[in-house]
Amino acid sequence: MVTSSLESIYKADGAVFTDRSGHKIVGHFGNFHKEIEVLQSNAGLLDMSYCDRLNVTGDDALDLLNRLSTNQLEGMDIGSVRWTILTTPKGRIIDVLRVARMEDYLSVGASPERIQNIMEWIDFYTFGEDVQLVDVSQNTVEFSLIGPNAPLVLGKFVTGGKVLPNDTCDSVQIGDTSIAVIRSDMKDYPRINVICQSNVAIDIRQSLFEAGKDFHLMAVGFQAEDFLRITLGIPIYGFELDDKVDPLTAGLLGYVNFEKGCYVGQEVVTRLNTYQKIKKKLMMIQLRDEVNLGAEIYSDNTLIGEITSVAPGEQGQWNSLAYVKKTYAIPGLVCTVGSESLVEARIVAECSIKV
Amino acid sequence: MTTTQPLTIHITEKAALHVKEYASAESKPGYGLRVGVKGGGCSGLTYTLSLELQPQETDKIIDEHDVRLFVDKKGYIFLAGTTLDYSDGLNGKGFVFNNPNAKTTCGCGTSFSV
Repeated sequence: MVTSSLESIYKADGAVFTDRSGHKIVGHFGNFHKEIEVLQSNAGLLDMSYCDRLNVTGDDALDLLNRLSTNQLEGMDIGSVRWTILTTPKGRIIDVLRVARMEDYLSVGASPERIQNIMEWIDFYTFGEDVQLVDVSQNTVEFSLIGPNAPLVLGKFVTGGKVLPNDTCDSVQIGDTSIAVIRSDMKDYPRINVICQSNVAIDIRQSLFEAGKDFHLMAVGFQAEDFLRITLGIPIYGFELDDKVDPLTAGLLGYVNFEKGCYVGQEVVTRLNTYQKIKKKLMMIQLRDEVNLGAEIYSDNTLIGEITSVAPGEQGQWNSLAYVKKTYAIPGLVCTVGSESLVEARIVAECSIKV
Repeated sequence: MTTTQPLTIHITEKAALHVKEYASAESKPGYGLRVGVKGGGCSGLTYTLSLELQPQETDKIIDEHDVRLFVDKKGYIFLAGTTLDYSDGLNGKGFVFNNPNAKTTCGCGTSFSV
């Protein structure tokens, strides 16, 4: 199992670890409910390093990524951030990428353990183009500042406390180190990712906490982030997303540009949209009790879907994401989950990421 | 007894004629035709055509019907066995790639997968 380079620090802070995608990551720091509260009202600091990171350089970098993925990347200005999806020729998801155009490279954020597939995929489609890919997942650390105060914490490092707008990126000086900062909010929740070299990660983390003192910044684990993600209906690879799912079924319409022209998988994705061909939808479901991932959802003894993510809620209930057959994907529909001990559930809303 | 012909890329007489006409119209008589592939397009790979005076050092060069075709090594893997033809039928005018490596092609015919 892959461990964080900051594991000893997290242990000293009382971290309880969990496993995700073969990585030992912090589940929580002893008070899950407090961590949720902090994300909702102040700011939390999460170590996102287990996600993969790729730096792409070369004159044709943006053009090549544009030809291989769903969103319009052409014309991205320096300092802008856009999400896009690498799809197979059949329109299925290879990964969802966060593309940040830094001054002299593209910083591409990917899902955990996807880097090899992504690099091989891009390499396969690279012919004479001037494109270089560097996997920086191992030698960098990525922190995430999440919550309403996150922009204010970062503002401490910027002259005049200037707030970084959503979907933008920049370089910021912290001490002697220049670090990449990328803001891409989780719907209404500000989220700023800070990427630095591993050898300065401890100092950067310390500096962020010092800057965050006035804004009640505290360390959070993945359970709190998962709570927020599931409450907001945001799918991730390995849970909701894989190479059998298309972007529309996963509610990622906002990452698809239907005007941009051809990209790999475009015909299939466009046809699914034009003829409304998707068979199921990603829905948020509230549960009376905990259920296992993959638990089946029934409505009047008819199998209508399957749970993909679960997190404990605030008032004893559990929140989940699930793929539900289109005809049953109705907010308010009461259903049951599980096959032996049935758990009462209610469909809350459709997951949808729009721009 | 059957003999195996090495796979190469062909250009039909009709396509060659159109290449020469186009080169002449562009004031590039005698230029070679670079035939290539790039990533992108609905099915994953897209054909590319351009006129070039000289081949690159590592190009495969095919001379047929008084037209030189330049093909880079990686593109050749996907194009070996292809015949470049020219269509002026009712369904549209233009160069057509008859590529035996293509498993699927997209609606517009410029993109393919292997």
